[in-house]
Amino acid sequence: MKKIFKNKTAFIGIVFIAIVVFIALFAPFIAPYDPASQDLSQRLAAPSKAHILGTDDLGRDVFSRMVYGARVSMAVGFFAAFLTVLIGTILGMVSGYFGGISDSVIMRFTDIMLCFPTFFLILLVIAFFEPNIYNVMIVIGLTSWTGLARIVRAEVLSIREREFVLASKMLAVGKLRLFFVHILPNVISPIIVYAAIAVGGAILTESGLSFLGLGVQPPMSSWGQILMQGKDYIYVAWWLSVFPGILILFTVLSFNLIGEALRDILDPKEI
Amino acid sequence: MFLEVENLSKTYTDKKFFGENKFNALSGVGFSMKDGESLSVIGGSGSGKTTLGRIISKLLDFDSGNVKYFGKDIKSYNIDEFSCIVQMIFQNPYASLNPKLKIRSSLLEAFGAKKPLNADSIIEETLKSVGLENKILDNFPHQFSGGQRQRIAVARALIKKPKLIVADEPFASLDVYSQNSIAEIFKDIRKNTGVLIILITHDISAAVKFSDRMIIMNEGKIIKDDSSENIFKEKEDAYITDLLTSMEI
Repeated sequence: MKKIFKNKTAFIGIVFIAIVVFIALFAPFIAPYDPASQDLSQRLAAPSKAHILGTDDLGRDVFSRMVYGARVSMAVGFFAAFLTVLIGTILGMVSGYFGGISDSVIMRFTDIMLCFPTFFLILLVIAFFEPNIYNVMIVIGLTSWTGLARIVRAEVLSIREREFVLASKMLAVGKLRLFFVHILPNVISPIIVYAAIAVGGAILTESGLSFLGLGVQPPMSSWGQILMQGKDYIYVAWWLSVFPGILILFTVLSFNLIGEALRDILDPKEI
Repeated sequence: MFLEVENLSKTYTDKKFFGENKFNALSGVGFSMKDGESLSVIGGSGSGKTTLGRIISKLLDFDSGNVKYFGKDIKSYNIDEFSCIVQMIFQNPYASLNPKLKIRSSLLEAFGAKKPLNADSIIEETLKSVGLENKILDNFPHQFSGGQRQRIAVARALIKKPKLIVADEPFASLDVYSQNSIAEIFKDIRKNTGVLIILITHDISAAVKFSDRMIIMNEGKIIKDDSSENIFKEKEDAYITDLLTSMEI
């Protein structure tokens, strides 16, 4: 844990994410305006003292909308990554540990999932069901576990033949203990790394969906949605596109930096 | 008879998308072991010695033949009974201990769910017999050298008080000093506890020092099974001659 704070890039990432999480948690106290209140006299106002990041085409304060949008992005990011990790880990563990038919079935299913262009699959599902934040979270989680399942499977395959697992088998250690005490803790590092990167990926996917109008629906705001509104006014109101764009960039970058740093830190410690 | 192996065969099948690759690891292996004997299984890489070791340790299924302990088929022992008969020590001490568990937890596993009241004193005694102190219990494996880890692995195998320890290349990943000290520990525990040891190795000099009887394997078959004094007297077999020459170097 100490090492991650010594790693400068990871430290910057952690600080940035901490700030965004803080903003998301305390959005009502931070946002100067109601994110949905319209003030048509202030349409497309440039950044000023009253509206530090300007206003959008309905006169809503962009800063306040972005503050509330952080809630959506963080919620989607963390929940989708959680679902990804849960599904990927369980399927990968079962596949690697039990082998045989369950392995074949799970891995062929994974191959099939990998063949789909994920983003279009998500688009299809969202278009089929109602586009709202919960569906977005669930669909992203349900479609992005494939890589993790393969990584976990490969790790489990190698760990379960390690001598310490065999030695525990010789000592008549039960299957459950083998699974949860010997195998799972030793495949946890790639899972953590994958989770950090998955949060960034999910935020990006949510932004993309919202940009296409299939993510969070108005009057709720999300970064991708502000960006989408901004594209119509990009020549007259650059602030609508630039600020949410930068925020998405830095948030995703932060998660990736944390993931990379975790990979460096967790790997050499292995045995 | 303590251990009887009859006509043992094992084929590894590597299933490919089209067809499969087969590899005969053991074919028609048979030998027996009396109580009190010390045995070495010698052979080069791919000779089937590790496969044999894992089969008699019940870590691996076999295709045909019989393996019996005390005249009872290996498959009819349940895992708890069997763990009191055979324990195994592995080649790589760095992978023999779970890196995420303290030594204490690794050793306590030997007692299973019902930990006896005197578990701590049993562990202490066992550690002493392999030349380790009690204070190591609260450390993690990465704090120890290969030789120390191998001692801990030996201690873990001894806690169950097994009748037989199958040691698969226990010296191969160690430096010369640690090799000697582990070999000394083996000799001591054999003398003190009467545990039988099957030493699986490619190192003939270790085997000669260590055991009364040797089995030489090549390509999944036993090509020679004799006492340590007699085994190299007749040099009729090309493989044995090769082994001997490599030893003299």
